[in-house]
Amino acid sequence: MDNREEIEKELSELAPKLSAMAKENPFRVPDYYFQGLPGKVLEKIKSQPVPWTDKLEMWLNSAFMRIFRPRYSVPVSAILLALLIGINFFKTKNSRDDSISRQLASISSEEINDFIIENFDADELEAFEGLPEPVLIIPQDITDEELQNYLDNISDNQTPEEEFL
Amino acid sequence: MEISDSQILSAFKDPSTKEEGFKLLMGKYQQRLYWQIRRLVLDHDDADDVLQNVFIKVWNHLGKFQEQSQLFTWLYRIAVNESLTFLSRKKRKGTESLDDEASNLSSKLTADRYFDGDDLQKRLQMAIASLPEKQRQVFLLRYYDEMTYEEMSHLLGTSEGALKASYHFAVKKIEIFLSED
Repeated sequence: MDNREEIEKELSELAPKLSAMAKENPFRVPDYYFQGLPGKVLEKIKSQPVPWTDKLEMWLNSAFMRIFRPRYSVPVSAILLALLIGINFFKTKNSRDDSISRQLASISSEEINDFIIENFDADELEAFEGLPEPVLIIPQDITDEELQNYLDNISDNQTPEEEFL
Repeated sequence: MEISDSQILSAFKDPSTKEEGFKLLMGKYQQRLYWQIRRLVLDHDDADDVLQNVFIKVWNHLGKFQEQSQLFTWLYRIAVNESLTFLSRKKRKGTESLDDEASNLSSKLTADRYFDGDDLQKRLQMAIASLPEKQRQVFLLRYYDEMTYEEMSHLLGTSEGALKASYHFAVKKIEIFLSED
């Protein structure tokens, strides 16, 4: 049974009155309606306002095409190349600075303190403004007599710190 | 020989042949779409307005058509959506009751110079117009276009069982409508 027969059989079982009606198209269209329709529609399309998104797309497309013209392509390429080199230079410099800062940050304050005490004398330390005063280490088990004796005997040119260090 | 959808689409996507491609598309599908719309909105002038809007939408969006479905399926869905939007907008504007609506429809068909049907045909069109949207779509596709349930399922994205049920309901309602005096 083909599709048409199947549809008719189904219809006659469900709705005998509808099935008995002649299946015709009662509607008509004006003469030459379909011949004239494409022109009418295209006319409407051309008169419709262009949405701003389409305008932007067209502008970007034309700008994109323009930079590939020979007279623009060389300067545009040179600018792009200079930009790339510049960006790359700053990136490398920053990453180097970053790595030194990172290494310094990993050193503890005690290690830095020890390094300073070992490698700098008091005069040099005084030259660093804002740094804490060097720690003067005075032996705790010294008596007052021993101390007096020591002060009497050190040379005038030596500072107490030099003598102890 | 009928032009293929892929030929139409490639002509449309090339800016230098876009208009030509669009004319080919209209030539291939305008009648089929017109009749789908006309059977839903009934009046020729309304069908003409809706069809023109459909093709303007097609012009604006065909470039983005993904070709995941058949071109006619895509066009048909736009046409049905546009027709239903038109009908609901029209219904919202009118404030008449259901009885007034039926009598308006009857006099509209009588006055329509592009309607040649007799009284029985007029009653059939009124019966179809009284159906819920989905049943009306299914009835029109099966009764006039003689589509199989499988074809309709692809077109409407609904299961064959559900379509069969919709068609049976629609036919029964129309039969009752035609039997009433």
